[in-house]
Amino acid sequence: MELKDKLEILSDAAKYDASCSSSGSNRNNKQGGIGNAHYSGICHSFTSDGRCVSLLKILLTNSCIYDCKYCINRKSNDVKRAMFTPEEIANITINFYRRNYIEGLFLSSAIIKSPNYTMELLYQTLYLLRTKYKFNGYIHVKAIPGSDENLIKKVGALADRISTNVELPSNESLKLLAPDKKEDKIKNTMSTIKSIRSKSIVPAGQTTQLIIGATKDSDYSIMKLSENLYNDSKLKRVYYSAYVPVNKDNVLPMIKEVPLKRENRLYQADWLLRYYNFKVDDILTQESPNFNLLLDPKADYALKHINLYPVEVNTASYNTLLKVPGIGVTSAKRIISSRRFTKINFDILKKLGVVLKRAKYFITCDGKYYASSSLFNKSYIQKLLEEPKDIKKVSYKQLNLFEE
Amino acid sequence: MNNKVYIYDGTIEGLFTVVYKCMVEKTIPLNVIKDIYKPSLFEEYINVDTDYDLSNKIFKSIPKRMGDLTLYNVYNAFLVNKNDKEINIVNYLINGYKYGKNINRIKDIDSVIKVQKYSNMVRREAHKLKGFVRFEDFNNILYSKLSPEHDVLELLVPHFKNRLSNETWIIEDIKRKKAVFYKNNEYKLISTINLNLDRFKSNDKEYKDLWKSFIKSVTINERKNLRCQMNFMPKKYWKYMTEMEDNNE
Repeated sequence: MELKDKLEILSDAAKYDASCSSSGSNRNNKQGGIGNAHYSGICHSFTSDGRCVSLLKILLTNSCIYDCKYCINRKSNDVKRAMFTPEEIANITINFYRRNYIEGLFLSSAIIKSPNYTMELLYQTLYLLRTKYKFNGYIHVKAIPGSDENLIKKVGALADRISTNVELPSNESLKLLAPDKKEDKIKNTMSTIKSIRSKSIVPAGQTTQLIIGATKDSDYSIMKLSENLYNDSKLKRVYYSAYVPVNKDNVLPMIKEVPLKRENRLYQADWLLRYYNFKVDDILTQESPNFNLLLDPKADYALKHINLYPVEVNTASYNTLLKVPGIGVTSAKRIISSRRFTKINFDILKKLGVVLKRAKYFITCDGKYYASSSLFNKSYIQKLLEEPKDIKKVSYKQLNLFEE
Repeated sequence: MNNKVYIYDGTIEGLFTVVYKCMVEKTIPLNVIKDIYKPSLFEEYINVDTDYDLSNKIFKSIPKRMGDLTLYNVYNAFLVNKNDKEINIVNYLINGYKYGKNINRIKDIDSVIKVQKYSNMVRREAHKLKGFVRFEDFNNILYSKLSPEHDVLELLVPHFKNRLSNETWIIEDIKRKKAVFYKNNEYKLISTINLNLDRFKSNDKEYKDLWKSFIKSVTINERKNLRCQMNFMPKKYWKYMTEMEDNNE
């Protein structure tokens, strides 16, 4: 099989992994070597679906001994199979890197023969790149649950980031859709990686991915899981991937459209957890466990706690400012530092980068509300902030599916 | 009302000389420009000859009096493609001598906001181009063409010098007819009126094709969103990007 055909098959099969980030590592180039890592990451291209391309994201192979229901590469599927040699991967990586196509490699794999056999091949590829080719660019590699701890540690010493996919948010869902994957093995792999992390080993940390919408799990249980992964397993990122129906199976849900809005809400809430000091229980409850698809989670929170608003921007604490829709981490910091010199009014807020279109409903500047205070009214604001339901657009998108 | 318009030689040293003059004469200029193109009766034109000693004094005093960030902002803003950059940089620095290290926090002075904005525009474009630069291999010389909005060419040098330290490479700014040439840990800025590498044949088709087919196969068609793509990767950069070649009209 030609290299081009292999690349087509094995990059196509890897594309459903949402992460493409190349950030979090400061790896330096060495004498005679090629490449380094850029701490904030660099996007090298954007595909026509609007996603960043930073890494050469490929599978070592798509031949799999597992039969996960949702996965295009499950063994019961009749798809073209291919496999790279470690040398081939190293060669493409270096040649793409020299031309500045990519920031590095994201290497994943289906399970061929056994978890250990697969992990050993991943290790050989990384070893080749780091030693023979003196490659110091970014490498993100998948850890295969169930492989030996020592092997995972050896891979960790060569990688910038390792991820172990949790895939499904609960043990029941895992049993139903991925019967070969075991929750305890995934957890063990994660804690092995947690135990070896240091400034030079897996410097960009550990991440994971969850598939959204293939099972009945609520947003509340998904977010609770993420909160635990951040707090206990010290994960750097949790990625959410909207379920794209690639297989037909009676245990899989019949969906008309990919749940992109829901994925978007989960990312927004994930941001609130990591940067805005929110807790899951602030934004969701067991009684209403799913996100409002018409409102972003922060606006939803503000409207549910309307008695805490409006907030006076000249005196409010940093944490209170963060909870105002339209005020982000940067603009909150700017407000704090600027108000020592000047009284903040609506004009200045705009210059500081606050999205007044949203924020104005929830703040006062020096006691003044943007309009008559009689307009400070929950249902009125809610109407203004809700996103329109665009039914036409969705059906148009569906048609597109069959054209290509 | 002040009517003084300073004319400088277009270099940052020239601009710093203007700042020195303004500080000594305690004037706030009406404008600072490179060439007069529409003389007006109501303006007084003052030619400023670049003085390297004076400009060096300004250069040294900026980080001391106003912090490193201010010097960084000035350097970046000077590369912006805007015709009011000079007057804003001069006003920003005059205010900087007054307010010292607090200057970047004062948001009700227009020139502070403008210079910060320009600095960010330049920094952002340079960052984007670190990703969007595409090299083509001409017999082991890597060659890339750009046509950036702002004059960011030299800002890219340290980045590629670090990661491609063992390679020989050229990045050419087509718009400004100049290029950087890097080899053996050293780089030169060259004028490129006659540089036309396209006359050499590159044997790069293999990896170009691999890259194009990679981009094609990682696209999820069910999620097509061209507007989102263009937000992150504006069309003006597509011209010299290998994977977008077939999308250019």
